[in-house]
Amino acid sequence: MRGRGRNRRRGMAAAVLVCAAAAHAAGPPVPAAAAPGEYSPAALYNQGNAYARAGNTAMAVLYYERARVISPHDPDVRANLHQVRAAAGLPEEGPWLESHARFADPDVLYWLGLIGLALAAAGLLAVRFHPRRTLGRAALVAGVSLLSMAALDAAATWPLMHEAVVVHAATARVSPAGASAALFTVPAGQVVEISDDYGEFALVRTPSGQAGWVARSDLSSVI
Amino acid sequence: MRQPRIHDMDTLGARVYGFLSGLAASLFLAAAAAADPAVTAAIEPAEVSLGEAASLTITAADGNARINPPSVPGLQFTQVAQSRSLQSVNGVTSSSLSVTYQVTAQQAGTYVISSIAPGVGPLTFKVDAGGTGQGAQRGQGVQPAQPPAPDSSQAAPDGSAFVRVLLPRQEIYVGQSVPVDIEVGTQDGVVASINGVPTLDGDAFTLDKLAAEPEQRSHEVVDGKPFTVFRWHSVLSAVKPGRLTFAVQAPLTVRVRMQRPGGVFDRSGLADLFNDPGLANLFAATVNKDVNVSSPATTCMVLDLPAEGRPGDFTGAVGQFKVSSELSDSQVTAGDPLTLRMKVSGQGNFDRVRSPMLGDVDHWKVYPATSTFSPADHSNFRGDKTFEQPVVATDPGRQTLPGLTFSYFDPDQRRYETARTDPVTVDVSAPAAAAPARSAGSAPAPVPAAARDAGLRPDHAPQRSHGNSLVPHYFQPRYLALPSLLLLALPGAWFWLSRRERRAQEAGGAGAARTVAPEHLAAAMDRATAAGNVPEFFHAARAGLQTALARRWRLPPDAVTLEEVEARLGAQSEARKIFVLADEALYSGRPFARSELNDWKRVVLRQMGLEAAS
Repeated sequence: MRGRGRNRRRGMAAAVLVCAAAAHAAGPPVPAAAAPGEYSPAALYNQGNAYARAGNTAMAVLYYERARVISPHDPDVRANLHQVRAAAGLPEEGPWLESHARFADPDVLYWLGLIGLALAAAGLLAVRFHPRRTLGRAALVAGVSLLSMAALDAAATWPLMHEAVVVHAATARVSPAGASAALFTVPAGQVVEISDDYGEFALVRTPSGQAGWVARSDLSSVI
Repeated sequence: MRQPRIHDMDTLGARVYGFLSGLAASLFLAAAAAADPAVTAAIEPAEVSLGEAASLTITAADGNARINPPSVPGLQFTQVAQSRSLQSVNGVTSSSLSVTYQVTAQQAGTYVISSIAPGVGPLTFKVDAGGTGQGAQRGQGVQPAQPPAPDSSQAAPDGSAFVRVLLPRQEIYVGQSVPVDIEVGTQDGVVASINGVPTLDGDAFTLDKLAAEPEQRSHEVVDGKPFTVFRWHSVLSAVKPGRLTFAVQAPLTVRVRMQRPGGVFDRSGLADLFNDPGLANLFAATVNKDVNVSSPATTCMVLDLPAEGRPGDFTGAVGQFKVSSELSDSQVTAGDPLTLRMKVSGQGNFDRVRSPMLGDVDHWKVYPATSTFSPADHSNFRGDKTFEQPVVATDPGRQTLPGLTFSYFDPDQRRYETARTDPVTVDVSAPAAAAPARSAGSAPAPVPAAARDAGLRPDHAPQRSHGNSLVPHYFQPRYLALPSLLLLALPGAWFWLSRRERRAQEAGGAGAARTVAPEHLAAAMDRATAAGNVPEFFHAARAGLQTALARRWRLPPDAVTLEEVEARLGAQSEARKIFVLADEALYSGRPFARSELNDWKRVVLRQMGLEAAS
């Protein structure tokens, strides 16, 4: 009886892990919405290179930034992004969190976070209900670590959801109207944060803290 | 500046106008009374300035009649008095009912008060914005201005402002962009401000957003009065076919002169002397009133785009366009990127000017195109839209890029047109790595992109697709289902395990109670101490501890092992020492003094909570 009870507990903890692993092995669910195309870090990076060679700095920056979303620490992406920015006189890096707190492909970290969540849950149950709590504590620590890593990455990636690249040199205006007073000019290739929308205009904030309304057609979202 | 002669003429005109109006109203009322003497109605005065009130008196010959206030949009009727009078003529008594309403208008205009009672004709009530009522009769205001000359303009009821819509054509197609000029004229000194841009009134049309400030400003004289005319340029589009109307309205603030019902000196004997317009003007107050001035309804015939002859690549562009194309270089090395540009110039709805550019082309790698619009006017009606598509020649040789096409509907020709560009031929040389085999002793292969390439790291080998969205999984709602399921499963598993454990404890607790009776342990340990049987003593001590700890931890007694005790209570705990001593006593035969055993007995009893009982 005693051995059977222990086996049941171990089996339950293992089942949670197996479920998570099976979900990972099965791959992501099929997206319902029509997608514009397939993405890969190499394709995005190569497209950025193509634009850079064609002299289109803004589009090059856009595709390098997109490549960085999937592959944040690719040295080639970083080097070429640095190269085109330096050539165009654009500021270098985004916020510190975005640059340093991202570990890997966010989708990989999603699955790791999911496994971490399963481990943490199993560890919590083991610590409470299993007589040998060392294993449970280890699972709990490992799970919380993975979960924290994924959460940190998500927090660092979240600003990218609101970032855009200025694809044509644009005039930032005081209000969302084409005839309103101009505040400053945003150079092509500049990464800006979009904080609001109104019709065909977006309220953008530059890394230097300037804010103004820019036509949507002059912006392209990073994600 | 005031001009006395004109001013006097205005005053005289106003008086004549007021007299004639009163005469007409009296005649009308007399006729109405003759037609049906049961109910009569009169409004006094029939013409006021905005902000002033008039009195409407409705009298019924039957004192038991029921009188209800009329309902006129824009007018407010407040009952201020009600009287019933009795008359006795030749012994016949009759009664009549009279109700007086205060009438106030929310905005200037001419109102018709009808449906007062059966048989009572309509009353005309005029409200002026700038003091053409009593004030005008006293010579302070201006005469109502006639609408300005263009037919597509609309004046405010008092003529102090108008809105014009200048549309070049009355027949348009769905989706077609038509330039439109909107003019708002405001009489100087009467209109205080324009409170916003003109807006479209009509759900069948869209009007491009107007600039916050008008693009042009000019001055006109209308009926001898100076007007400032503000002009906006925009583009109008129809969203559905049919004979449709629209209007444009502008919010304004007008200055209204508040005139008290009676003059300052009306109740004194000096009224005739001091009711001079200048003096009255001195005592009049001016307030601002917000009003909306609308253009007259403009009717357009909106035609649907014909289905016949519609090209497959038609994207909804309507207008007149020209296309041209160019390639960034005519000689390249295989693998070098080029930019193919197509420029669409002309006038029309550029937001519908779209082109996918080239699809798959043999010997070329083609990337998605982007577009840029350069407007030539404020309304984005004319301009150039440039499509750029990066292309890379994959094979050396003379390669040709096919011509591009762009289809649109020409509203003047009333047919679809397809503009085409010529194919482009490029000489593609082999890449530098293959050059030695090809060009030994010949001219070196051109490297046109070398300068641009400087400092860039090379392309990466193709990889497995990452997916079809750049949005990370943890920001996609559908991917949040898995962690949510896990979080839901955790309390479920917790509950299930707790129940299972509780049942096991119930079963285990009963068994322990059957195997070890804690109250007999002290006696058993006493007997073992008296007999000097150390193994028996510690066996009893361990059994007692197991029972007590199993109850405390809700475990079966068998599960309370040395490891469990050490894990839960630590290596230095007394309970663990008893477990260790029990093993020692059993296997090593270590002797214990009676006092030591008594000490351990107290420890066991304390752990079991039986110390007091011992």
